[in-house]
Amino acid sequence: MKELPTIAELSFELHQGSVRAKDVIADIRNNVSTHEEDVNAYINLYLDDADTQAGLADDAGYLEGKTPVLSGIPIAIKDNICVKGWPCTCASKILEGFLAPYDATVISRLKENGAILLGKTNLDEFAMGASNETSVYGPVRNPLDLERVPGGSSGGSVAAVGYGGAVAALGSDTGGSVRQPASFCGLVGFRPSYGRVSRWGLVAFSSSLDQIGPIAKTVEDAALLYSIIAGPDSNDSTTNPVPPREICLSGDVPNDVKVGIITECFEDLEDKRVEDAVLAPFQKAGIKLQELSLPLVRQSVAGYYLLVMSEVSSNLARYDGIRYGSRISKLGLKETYFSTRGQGFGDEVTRRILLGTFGLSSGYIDAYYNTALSYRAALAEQYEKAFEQVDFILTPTMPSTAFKLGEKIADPLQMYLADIFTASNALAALPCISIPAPKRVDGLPVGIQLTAPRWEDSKLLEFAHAVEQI
Amino acid sequence: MQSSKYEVIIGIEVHTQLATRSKMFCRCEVNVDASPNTRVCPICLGLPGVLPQTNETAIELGIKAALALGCEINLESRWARKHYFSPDLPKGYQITQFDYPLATGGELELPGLDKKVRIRRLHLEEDAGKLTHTSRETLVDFNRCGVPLAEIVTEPDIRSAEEADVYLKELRQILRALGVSDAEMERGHFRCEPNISVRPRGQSELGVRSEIKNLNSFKAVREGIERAVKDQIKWLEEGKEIVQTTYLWDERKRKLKPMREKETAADYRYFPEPDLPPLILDIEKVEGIKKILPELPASKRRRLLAEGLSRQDAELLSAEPGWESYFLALLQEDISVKEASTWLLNEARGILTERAENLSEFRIPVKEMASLIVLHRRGKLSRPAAKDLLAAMADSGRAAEELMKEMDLAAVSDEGVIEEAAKKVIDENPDICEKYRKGKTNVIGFLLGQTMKELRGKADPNTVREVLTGLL
Repeated sequence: MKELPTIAELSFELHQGSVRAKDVIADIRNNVSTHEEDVNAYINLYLDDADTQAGLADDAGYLEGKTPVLSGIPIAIKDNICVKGWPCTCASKILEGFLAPYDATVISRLKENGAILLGKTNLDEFAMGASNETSVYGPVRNPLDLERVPGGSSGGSVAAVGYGGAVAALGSDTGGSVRQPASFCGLVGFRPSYGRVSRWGLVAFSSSLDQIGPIAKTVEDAALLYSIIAGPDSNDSTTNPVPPREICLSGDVPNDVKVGIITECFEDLEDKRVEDAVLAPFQKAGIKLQELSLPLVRQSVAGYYLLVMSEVSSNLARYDGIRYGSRISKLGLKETYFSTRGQGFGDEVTRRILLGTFGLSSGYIDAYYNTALSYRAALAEQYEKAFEQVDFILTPTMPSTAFKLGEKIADPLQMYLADIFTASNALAALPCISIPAPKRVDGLPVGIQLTAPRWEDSKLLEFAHAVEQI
Repeated sequence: MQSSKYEVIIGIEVHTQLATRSKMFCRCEVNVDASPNTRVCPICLGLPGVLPQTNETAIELGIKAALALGCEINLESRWARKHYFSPDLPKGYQITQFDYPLATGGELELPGLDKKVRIRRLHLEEDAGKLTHTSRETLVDFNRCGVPLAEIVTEPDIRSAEEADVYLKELRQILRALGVSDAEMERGHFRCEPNISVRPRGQSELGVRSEIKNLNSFKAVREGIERAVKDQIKWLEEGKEIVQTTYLWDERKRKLKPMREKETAADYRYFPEPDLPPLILDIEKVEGIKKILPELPASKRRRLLAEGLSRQDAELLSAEPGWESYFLALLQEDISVKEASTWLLNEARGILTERAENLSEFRIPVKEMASLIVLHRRGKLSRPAAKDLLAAMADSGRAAEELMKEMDLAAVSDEGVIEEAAKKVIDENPDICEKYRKGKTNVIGFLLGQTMKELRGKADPNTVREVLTGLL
């Protein structure tokens, strides 16, 4: 495998003239031919188009301050984000044959900034899963160990960057889908504050939680991608109308920084080696850690899944085979609905639609959906209180390193519990990032997760970058 | 109605299409008549990845309607999703308002009935598409999908089909006067869904409800309600158990067709729309809209009646915004209320009705209409000649005086000419003149008519009468 440069390195070299974008596409082509068959990171890959675009960028030349910042940079896109003219499958049979007629806002912004889009990456069906095993296009494997899962649901995006199939990628994070695979594959995955990045063109899974986030090799790259895709968008009424503050990566740990650790998270950790790996850089840098109790975090998986499934049952109602995607025609409307939806969705998606429908039904909505809503508000309040004492909260991203394919897929509850550290901050709409710990466990990466108060995305990236340098 | 023994309780839901140019949650043009599926975009088609964007104008129109109905505007209202599967509902849910509507608690006075109907709520939502069933297949047109609607719900205050009729007509007038909705019933802009229950007089709990859909005219509403009341009374008399049912009105058979019973009623699984933040309104904005609210039909009616207009004319003027402004413009030109009523509301309106045209197609400018009336007032134009001139002006849009000259309609004021014509008529009708002289003075009408005919209607009838009596 030919190791690819970071965005920052590549951009520097392109401007220096020491590398051409076409050379990088050629390297990617090589890496793809060696690894793609095993890893299965892409659903659709358009290397010839990428090569043409790279040629155009090279011909136009790279001029500081004149050439768009992502000119010549090849990026992979999770296949639940619409790119005009390309299929958008969400790794589901039900979207077979659907071509997106428009660009997601993040895609328009990448294109305006000169990025070369490589193709669409594999994911858990409709981003529902933590192992990337529910894709109708087959599972994605962890490039570091093909026996293991890459994590999910943005498994394809992470794996592609992991094996040198892309310089960076976009994923989406509902309850950990960017951070968790980043943790399993030793990369950086950033989930912005809910409302920072437009969801226009992101196929909805759980609308009140979905956020698009960058996956990259360094915090610097993640910050660069974030600064391009973030900001208000009239197409998404849930975006913050105030643009994010500019990011200044000094690499220095602020003297008076206060970092809290959630007692409950560390208490529940089975593998103490994960804890050691996560704490090591902080101890090394002499950053004092303050213990915080957030008891509500323990119910976060239950609260998260109640909300998510309810929203899933609503968001996925539109896939009825009437206007687009696959239709399995039967005599009669109801029968056509039953066969189209019954055969179009996989088991995990079906499970969530059924449970969510139940949770919103009259007679049950108070016990389930409404309870989860109140829980969410109380949890956000607990986080807010915690941030009166500390600047950032530190936890492991995942309680373990990457597990093996097939290990959890038969037991949905076990799979859901993998979200134990990534669901609560998502529920509270907070920005959070997973960066690889310097120390591995049994040779496998461990993710350090940092969470900041809502809208403090820039501050979080600056601090994460400093921690990364330790 | 057999209402002595029983009491009829009616509540009404009205869905009215808001008169916006674009749809509720996207920028597609509202044009239901365009060829099928040409006013659509990824948003109203519910494609993967799209998000709704609220239409500010629709919200303003909703506020206007709510203020006119005396509702309290909720400065924070929320959007909700209402779920059901139908091929004309692309997202599998409708965006509407549920727990937190735009407005609550208003009332509407029923004209002539000395009664008020309380308004429970007014909320905003989007319309669905349209299905066309053929013998072989069902076609779906999404042009209507996402068109903004206001739903206006009454308390169960209505007691008869008659009251329902008055309520709906008054509500429709208000919506039209405000420019909130065209409210054309046949075109589905104004859909009424009454729910009806009957209980023995004196019983405190309510009877079981029948709901009626597919009522496309005021007549259908009246007939549908009357049918439901009769059915329910019959069942009560027979001691039959009444099941809560939704019916469709069959216009042709004039019967109620059961659509679904309560047990099979849909569970819409309402929940807050996560794609839209709560709708927060500025108190200043609401106050601003309140200030520019046009005069409502009820108050306008009172004012016009006070100005000496007949009830019928007052109704007409307060119902149709265009007529009133034309009328008032005539008064500005020093035309009296009576003259304006005669020439605009009788004569001009008669011409338009005959031609099946709207006031917007009326080609006579206010100034020219006024000059016609003045010509007549000054005796320069007889009444029949003025009518002819009015018709000609309506055809050509030309100026009154100029056209009068061209058509040679000016009144004959030369008494010599009138006398000559009168003499001729007297000579030709000796028998009738004899009768007159013997005291049967009412025959003068015939002679007057004949003389006017001789003069081709161009003389002032009073002058002609004077000349005739003098000669006789």
